Amino acid sequence: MSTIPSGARILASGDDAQLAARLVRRDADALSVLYDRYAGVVYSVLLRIVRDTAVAEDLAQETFLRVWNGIHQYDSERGSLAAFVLTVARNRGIDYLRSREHRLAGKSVAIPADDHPVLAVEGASALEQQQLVRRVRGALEALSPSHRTVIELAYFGGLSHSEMSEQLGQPLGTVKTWVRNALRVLREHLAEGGARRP
Amino acid sequence: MNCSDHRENLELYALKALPAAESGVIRGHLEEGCSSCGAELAAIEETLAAVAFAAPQREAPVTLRGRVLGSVRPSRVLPVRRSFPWKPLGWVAAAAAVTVLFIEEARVNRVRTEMQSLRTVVARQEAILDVLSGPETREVVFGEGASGRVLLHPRRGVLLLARNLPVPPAGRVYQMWIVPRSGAPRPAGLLAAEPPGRAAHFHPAELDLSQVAAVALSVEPPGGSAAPTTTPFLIVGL
Repeated sequence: MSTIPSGARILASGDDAQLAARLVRRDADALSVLYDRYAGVVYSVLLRIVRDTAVAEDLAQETFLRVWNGIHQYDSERGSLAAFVLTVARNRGIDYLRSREHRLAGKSVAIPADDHPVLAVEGASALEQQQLVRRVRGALEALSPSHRTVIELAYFGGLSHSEMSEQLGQPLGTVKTWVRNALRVLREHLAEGGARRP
Repeated sequence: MNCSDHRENLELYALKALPAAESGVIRGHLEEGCSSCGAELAAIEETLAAVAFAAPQREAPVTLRGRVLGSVRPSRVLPVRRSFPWKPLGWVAAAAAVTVLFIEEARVNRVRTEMQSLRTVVARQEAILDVLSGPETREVVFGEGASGRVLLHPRRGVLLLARNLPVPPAGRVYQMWIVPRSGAPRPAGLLAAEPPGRAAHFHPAELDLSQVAAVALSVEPPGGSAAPTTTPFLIVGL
């Protein structure tokens, strides 16, 4: 029996469990399916985070290898395979931003507050992904500017709680409340809008 | 601490935005097997993963598929011959094989280097394309004498397209500067040699456009300067 709260399977696909089981069996064709399904969004989110195409490609490769090697940690009762993959990808991107390698490259992690996260889809995308992008975009647009900003700074910029507080000139408690409320509203919008992958 | 204390920080924990000590406390609580906090964390991670779809969607590079799939396929195991029918020939064959391996390794290294430089070129072209076509780009046209355009993109950088530039004095070069509203001008690269009077110069940078006052060109010694050593002869105000 699942104890997952409402909205926890926003990105679930019907065959998540079967695909994961094939990956556990070391089925390279299953990795091919996984790659075709998520390579675009994995690369896109990494590029958005690190802003360097070569680094994003390297981290995307590492993401898929980590998923391949760590697939036994995935529990389809707990969440979607997409969330598992994208959490690995985002963590790799943020780890890179905070790494010595990145600091030596002299690249900034700060993102201007007016750099809006909900941008148009660029390049070719599958129809279902475009629909999902629109739903997420709609959910983000429903957030207040301060809520959008903290999600942007934390998710794509990798800023810590205290860094966000400093950059926004707001107390730690206020930033925490903004983050919590932003995610609660996002979750409600995505669950209501049926953002489940077609 | 009870579950409600941990719940207050679960979002920041999922975002990796907490200090290590606080993260460790929550991780310990989750590892103890708190199913309700675990389920709540899963829901938060699912919501955060959806945010990934708000990033501008790009197609993955064509080379990535091969890199990913190629790196997990089991390597081919060649059958091992127990012995050579004629041992001297076996040594010759082994030496030849080692030579081939060295040549192959050198070839792979060369291809890797070429791919890296190609990636750099492509990334630069993509950045310039974004500057030229991006909705966030700010464009300023300038004229009288030297004329042209300056295009600024908040995440990609500055592109200067100019014509009718005077020839720089012998032994001197042109250097571009990003002039902030407050503070010292920032070096933005030396202009590459172009046909007389023309320049197309791109400087990758992240910019807060509201804080950029102007883009300027000055005459500098070869190799450029950390700060302008001459009064800029071209200042394009924003």
